[in-house]
Amino acid sequence: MKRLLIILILFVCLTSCAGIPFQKTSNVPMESADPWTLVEEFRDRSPENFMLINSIVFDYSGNKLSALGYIKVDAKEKTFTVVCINPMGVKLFELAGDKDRIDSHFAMEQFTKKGNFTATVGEDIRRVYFDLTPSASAEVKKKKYKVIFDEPLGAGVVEYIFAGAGGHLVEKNYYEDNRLNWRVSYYEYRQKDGKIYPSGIILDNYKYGYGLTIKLKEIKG
Amino acid sequence: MKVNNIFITLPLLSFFLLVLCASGLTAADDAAEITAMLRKLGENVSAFKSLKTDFIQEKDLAIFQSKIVMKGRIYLQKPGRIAWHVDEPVRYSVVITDKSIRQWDEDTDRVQEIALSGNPVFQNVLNQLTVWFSGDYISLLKDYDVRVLKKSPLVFEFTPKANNAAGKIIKNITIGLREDERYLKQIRILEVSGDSTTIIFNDTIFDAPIEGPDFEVKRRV
Repeated sequence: MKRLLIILILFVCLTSCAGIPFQKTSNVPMESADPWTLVEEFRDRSPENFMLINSIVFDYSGNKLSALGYIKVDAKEKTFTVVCINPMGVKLFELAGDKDRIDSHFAMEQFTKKGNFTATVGEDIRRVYFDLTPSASAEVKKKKYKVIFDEPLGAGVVEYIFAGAGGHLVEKNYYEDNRLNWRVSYYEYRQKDGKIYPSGIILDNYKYGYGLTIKLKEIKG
Repeated sequence: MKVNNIFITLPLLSFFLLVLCASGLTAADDAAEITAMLRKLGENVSAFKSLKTDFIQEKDLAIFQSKIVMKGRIYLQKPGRIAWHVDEPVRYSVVITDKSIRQWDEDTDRVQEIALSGNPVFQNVLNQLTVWFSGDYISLLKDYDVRVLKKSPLVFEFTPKANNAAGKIIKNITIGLREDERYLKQIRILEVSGDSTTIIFNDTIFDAPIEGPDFEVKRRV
């Protein structure tokens, strides 16, 4: 029975990890790490202004759409501009926004017909690229391999998890009524000009049942 | 895997919309010479049974004042087979025949296929792609004004007429010929938004043996 249980656990682990195209963050002991030093160092090493080229896979109900995203972010001012094109080079949408509003410069009709496309994309970009560190009032929980910061956000609670060899942000989780609403996972940080960029980002929106997988292709500066 | 939904039709349709927009041009009244030039050009360009060419596609995004560069290969075999393989910055392939469209990309690692039978839109797409890449430019003379920008090597500019709906998207399309006028050197599509797409053809080979795998979307997996 015990053996069966181990096999079952291994199977679940393997299948749950199989869909992630990035290297899993390594388990590095965090007991001796000072939580706020981690946050401070991460903040110092995160870029404020950057332009990236990403490949993006949008996954909804088992259907997948891939595209190239070109994004310019000012994380300090909380502004962004994003253009998404398909692999043949045709623009799918172009948006610009800040922490409060989003302007659609262009979006193919097929996208805008369903729901509030502009607001959804803008909100996802904010989740992924803005507010990557907790505020000073966050509650701290130290685990063996990770440091967790909790703080209220809107109607729920946002959780920041720092882990891995660099002690960088590896997850942002948002809960409402104790249910995980969305999660952003960050993988394989790389460096350029003293700043760090995640090579892989996965956003899972559990509330609406879709996911985004973002692979960093190029850092434009 | 056969699917027929937004996830396959959108990326393809969006590209082909541009092609379809360029599906007709009318020479100006005083452009009998242009008509004759296009006819002669068509005879030169169409004098092959198969073709393979490398391409560099530059997407200039007005909002960023920057460009995305894509590289790949196109294979064409008469009658009615086209393969478009993108190698950088993502790997993507689409193969269009008179029966179906198949596409694959590295991020989703899925082959998606739709049948052309009973799908007049994509049949039209195939026809238009064939026209552009095979040199039957005379058949395009419907909805655009045409002028010669340069005679040696030849460069034509196609501008949508006032009653052409393509004018809402496309400002003009420029095609440049090789020195020997046997094939295109480049196509440039300038959009009203200020974005532009330039496809430059390199190492074009006529009637070279094309292997079956060149028309497979998953051959590079």
